[in-house]
Amino acid sequence: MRNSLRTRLIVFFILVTVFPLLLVGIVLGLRTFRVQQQQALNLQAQIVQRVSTAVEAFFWELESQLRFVVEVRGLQDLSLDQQRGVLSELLTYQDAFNELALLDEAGREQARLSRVQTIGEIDLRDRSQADEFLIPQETGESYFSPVRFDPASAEPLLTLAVPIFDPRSGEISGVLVADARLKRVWDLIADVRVGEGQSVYIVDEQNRVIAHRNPSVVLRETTFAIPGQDGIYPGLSGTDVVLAHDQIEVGGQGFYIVAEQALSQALGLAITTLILLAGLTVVAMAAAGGVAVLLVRQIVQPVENLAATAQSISDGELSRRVEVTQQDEIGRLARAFNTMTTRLRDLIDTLEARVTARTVDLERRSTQLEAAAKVGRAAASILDVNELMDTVVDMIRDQFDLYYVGLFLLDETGEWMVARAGSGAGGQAITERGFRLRVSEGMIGWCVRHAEARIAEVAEEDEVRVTIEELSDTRSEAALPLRSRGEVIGALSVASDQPETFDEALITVLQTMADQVAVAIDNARLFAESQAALEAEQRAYGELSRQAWHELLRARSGWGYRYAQQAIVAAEGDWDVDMRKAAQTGQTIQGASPTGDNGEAVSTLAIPIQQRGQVVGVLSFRKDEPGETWSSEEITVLEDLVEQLGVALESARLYEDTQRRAARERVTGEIAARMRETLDMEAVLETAAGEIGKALDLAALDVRLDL
Amino acid sequence: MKCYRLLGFLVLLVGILAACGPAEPEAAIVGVVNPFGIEMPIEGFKAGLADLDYVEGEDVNYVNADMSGGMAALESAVEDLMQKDVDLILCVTTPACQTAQKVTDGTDVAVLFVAVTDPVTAGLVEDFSDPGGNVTGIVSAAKGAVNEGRALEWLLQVAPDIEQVFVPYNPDDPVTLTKLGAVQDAAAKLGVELILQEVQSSDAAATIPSSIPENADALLTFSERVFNVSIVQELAAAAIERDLPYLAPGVEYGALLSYAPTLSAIGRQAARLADQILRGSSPADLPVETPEFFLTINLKTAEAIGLDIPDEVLRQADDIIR
Repeated sequence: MRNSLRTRLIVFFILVTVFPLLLVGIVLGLRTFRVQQQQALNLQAQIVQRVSTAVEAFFWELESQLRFVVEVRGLQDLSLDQQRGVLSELLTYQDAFNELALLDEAGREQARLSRVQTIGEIDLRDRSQADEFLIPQETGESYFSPVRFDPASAEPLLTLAVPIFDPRSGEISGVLVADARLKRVWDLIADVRVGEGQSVYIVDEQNRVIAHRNPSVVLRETTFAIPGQDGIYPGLSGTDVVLAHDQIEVGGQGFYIVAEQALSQALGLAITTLILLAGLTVVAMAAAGGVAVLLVRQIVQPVENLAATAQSISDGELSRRVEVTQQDEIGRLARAFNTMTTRLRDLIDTLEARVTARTVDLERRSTQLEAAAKVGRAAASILDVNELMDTVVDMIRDQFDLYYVGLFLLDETGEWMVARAGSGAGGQAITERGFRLRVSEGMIGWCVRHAEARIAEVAEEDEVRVTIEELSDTRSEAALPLRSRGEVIGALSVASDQPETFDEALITVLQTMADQVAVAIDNARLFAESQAALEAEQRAYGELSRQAWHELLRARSGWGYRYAQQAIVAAEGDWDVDMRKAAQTGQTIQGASPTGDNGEAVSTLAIPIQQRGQVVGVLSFRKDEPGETWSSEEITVLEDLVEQLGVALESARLYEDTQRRAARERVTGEIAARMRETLDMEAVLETAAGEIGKALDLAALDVRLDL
Repeated sequence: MKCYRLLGFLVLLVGILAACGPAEPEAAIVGVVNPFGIEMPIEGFKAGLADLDYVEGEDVNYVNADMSGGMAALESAVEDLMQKDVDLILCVTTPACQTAQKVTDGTDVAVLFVAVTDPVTAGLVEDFSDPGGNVTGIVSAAKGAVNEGRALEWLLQVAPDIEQVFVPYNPDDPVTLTKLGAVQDAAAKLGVELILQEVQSSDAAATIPSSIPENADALLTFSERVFNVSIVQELAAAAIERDLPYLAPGVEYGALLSYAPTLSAIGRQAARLADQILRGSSPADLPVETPEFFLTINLKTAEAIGLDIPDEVLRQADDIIR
């Protein structure tokens, strides 16, 4: 279905509507994303600038306050108590200062006050080698130390030192040192109004976070490596952020002001826009899908219905119709399709009817041909003419469901058609009463005369038809010639009790069958004639054979041999009872005969020797031991041997007879040759008398000529 | 049919998007263990959370440990608190926090302390910057309680004539001993003599107001268990009666001066840590924070004892009770 019209239309709509929207959405999204990113960077940069300014101002303020105390209050000129009082006031005024120390020109602490602890005289130190003294003294500039973390509070501290100049000499007469707590910078940062996910912090040059809205970040001495330029990087918490930074320098110490905002927050609008665009795209896709569905319903659905109906029709469901709901081209197409379907259905119905009829016809023809074949096979298998004809008419009647089937054969005169067989009661009656028609009469006569079939679709309407009383139910009739070896030997008469039964096709089948029957009848006749001739010949030969054997045995009365005591002697005496019985019946006779001194009976067997049905002798067998009987196998073997003996005797007799004939012929030929040796009649006569008398060993022979 | 499928898909999509929306967070439960009834840090804590947009009843609920059984029943009170599925325990004073730490050991319930002077010595944390376990908070003193010495210095700035300061203290409280050490260091630097008296119980402390040494020029007490509010008030009254400057955390109860963090500010500071803990940070990652110190002067008491406080000192005071 991937290439279906519906799919293609939906893809088309999606391409037309969604793809451009998606493209625009992507472009807008990317553009928005970039703009938002830049805006977020700008915002972070603004925050950084603001914080930078505040931090610089903070440090400037700290320095200014120290300078104020030194320059305005004349700290160096005050008494120690006054100096401590001023420092105490400064500590109170600027709570960023954790500790203040006043160094003399040698770097020794003159006074030192702490915010949290008491510092006595004993606590004053020499700081002459410390940077907070040396650098201001050398440069005359304020000094800012690197940030350090207070081990007591873990807070970042920065030492700030300002030089104190003697107003008269202009020389540095001391240094005011302050330990400033950067914790106050935390407050500066905390005061910066930032959005959700936004964070501002300060990193020193050692990458340590020294100020953050969340003090814990600083207190746990978090480090962060500042990237080279602003952009999107992993932020302080490790998640991606939009980050901007600025570097400020205070008294030679560098600080990085960093502002970052979580990417999800900074680009929230862009992400929202993307989500909105994605949502719009989804909605557009849904709308496109809806439109596609509607259009499919309007356009594709009817086409699909058409296709489905066509498919159903192709599957054979010809009753399907397309529902016509539109008046447009598709509606017209649907109506045309329905019309086409109707016509197709009619056509197919007609064709089916014709096919059915043809099929029925073919089946009928097939049945008829099969019946004809059956009749033909039956006819060919029967050699008796009468049986053949009786069988054939019955089979034809049964196989073709006919009212009557009859066989008429020409008689010896060729003028009459005699009913030889008929099916049914009417047919048998006709046959039995010897019904016959002249060759010039009726449909049967017509077909014999013309050697072609004659059909009466309506029997009563046929002009030449002869009405037969016994076949009064006949409504249609046909007569088919029985043709064999080019001659019409008779006719096959078929009748139906239904009119118009015999069409051309059936007649063709029946004619073919009739031809087969005719040949079969002819063959049966010939076979009968041949059989009769053979029987006559056999009868004649058998008689000759009997005479020959009769003469032969008469000449050699008592001819026979006996095998006994492993010796062959001439048979003597009369035949026993069993032998005579076998000779009379021509059957093998089992019996018993007393023998020996004790008079016990032994089994005997007498088997006749037959020649062409005449017994010419008997073989008698006798068991040695009393009680032994003849097995059927022994009897069969002995009968076979006796049969072979008969054949051998006949062959020997024939050979003797032939020899005798040959000798006679030779003598005759020799006498004839002697007689033809001369042309003298006297000589011929004399030769004939002498040669014949000698040849035949006659006592006397007379040859006389007279008219 | 396909229209219904499309509609069903859209409804399902909307349902999934709705289900993916942010779930309403449950209100956090903060258990409060305040055995001595010091309400200021609790109030500061609540105010601090309110400043951080925590609305009580919606975003946070407070459950107070039942301290009706006194200190003896402190552990069971904390255990009862644990049964209420607290997310965080705010404990006030060292004993309360030690008990909370003990009860919550092995659980994921954070303990946030306030009014604790030395959490390392008390065993609450391993280190300020790296607390370790489930406990963090705001200390109420500088490391080594050196601010106690600075308080003595302030006292001398107010009353420079002071030579001997009477210091009753509880020798059984290690935190007090730390504070005393700091005061002793400062006294040595400032040339002040301390008159020390051990007080090991509230009953003994109750006798202090009536037994202030005659030679004492001033009175100093620490914030500790034996000096409860009533005793501080009695001490303040006794000091006024004898025109003695009284240096103690309870300026509002009549003491002259204190230099210490305000418990309310500590509470607010602790609220910020609580916010981080409730947002998922581990207490182990939240360094212990130090408080700000405020000079508070009770001008009424000063007038009562006839003490004229110099203006330059008054100007440095963070809070003046007039």
